[in-house]
Amino acid sequence: MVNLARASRRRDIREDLVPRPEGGRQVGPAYSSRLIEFVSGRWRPEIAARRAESLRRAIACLKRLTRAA
Amino acid sequence: MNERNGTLRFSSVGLRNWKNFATCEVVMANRVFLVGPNASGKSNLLDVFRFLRDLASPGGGFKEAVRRRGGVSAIRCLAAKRYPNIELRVVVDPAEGSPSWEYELGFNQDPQRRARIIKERVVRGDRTLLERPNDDDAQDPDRLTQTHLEQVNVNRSFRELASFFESIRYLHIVPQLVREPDRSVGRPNDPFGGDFLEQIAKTQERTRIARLNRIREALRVAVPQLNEIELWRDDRGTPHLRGKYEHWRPQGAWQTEEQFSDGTLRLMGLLWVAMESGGPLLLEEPELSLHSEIVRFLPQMFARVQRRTGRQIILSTHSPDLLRDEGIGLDEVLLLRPGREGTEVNPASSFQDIRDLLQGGMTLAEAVIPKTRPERAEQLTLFADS
Repeated sequence: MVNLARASRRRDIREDLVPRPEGGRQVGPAYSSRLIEFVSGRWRPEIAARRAESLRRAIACLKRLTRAA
Repeated sequence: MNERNGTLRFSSVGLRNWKNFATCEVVMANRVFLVGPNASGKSNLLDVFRFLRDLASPGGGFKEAVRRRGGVSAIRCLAAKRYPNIELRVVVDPAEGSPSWEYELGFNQDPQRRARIIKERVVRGDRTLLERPNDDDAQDPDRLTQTHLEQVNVNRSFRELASFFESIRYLHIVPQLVREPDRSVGRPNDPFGGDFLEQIAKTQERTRIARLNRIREALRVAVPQLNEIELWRDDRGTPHLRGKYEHWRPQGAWQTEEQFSDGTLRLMGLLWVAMESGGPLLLEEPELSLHSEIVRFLPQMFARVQRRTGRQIILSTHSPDLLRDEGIGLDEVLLLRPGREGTEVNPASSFQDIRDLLQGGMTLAEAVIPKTRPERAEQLTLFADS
């Protein structure tokens, strides 16, 4: 994810998600809040699942679990 | 964007005999977290910047700044020995390109215990703009009771630096003072929030409404029942903040700041200053009275605010929740550890064990807080027994 952000043309995305080398961390300063924003606002898991087999299985698994509960 | 490019920030601070610090030299990131046990000097380190602000502010100046702190002997480090002068040196960097500023001040007191400047220097890039004491000071020693920084008629070549110092803002909101502003009347820019409502009232209406709306949006996470926030004046014209709470009554109910919880008020104060652009923002324990789940997101909120305003944020904290954030750089955390020769200040990045613990999957809080734990804290439990 960080590498995707690194290639972004938008400076705000790069600055929020990509860690500064001097900081010694794996993610940037506003990484989790950006992801929360993305996941809750824009992300469409069903469409993403068409391209990601593991996500498709995870969703199917969760659906089974909720049916069982 | 222009606003951001024009922003200056502190990039390093060097101290000698300043309060807890016998000697220290620290590099400052754009966001700084000061962590250390009680009385290790977190507030005293913030006070360096408040001192600079006092020097350059109207109604301030060198004499007044020293007086407010109880005189030279109250400022001087107890560990000061042969070398008695108090010295501070700061480097201030413009956002990009232009040369950095350097300001240095050394002072002491004369036999009558009056504060005296021993040296004052202003450098920009490789040009020295001021070097004192100079010939004028030699002819008239009384000049050494004032810095050139505070004098408009001589600071022209470095006024940008003076205005930068003046733009520093310290905030430590005490909810009781926001609710009862009478106690701090006559103190504009009161760091404890005494004039918080007045400042909101003074803000241009459009800006104010926009900001209050954004605060309401942000507060939705913490106080979901809060529907609306507005400024409201009572019969005497005194400004109040009031909020409309969703309620069992269909219209909801209005409450003023007097009924807001401590946490809600402090959070509103934090969010309000976060939206202001300006000089470095000094925050004293922003986590106070806030729920841990809110505290966790403060570092991210500050990071995003900074991206917009470019404003430097320097804060002190005791909160493991705040330090749990994964985006806090190790160079942004300054550890204060008291020792016999005064307090030492080091960035978390300088400790190999902290780096190792993080590599091993621990959080920054887990790695850093044990280093700041007061020795024998368990003794407190014996407090009432003797």
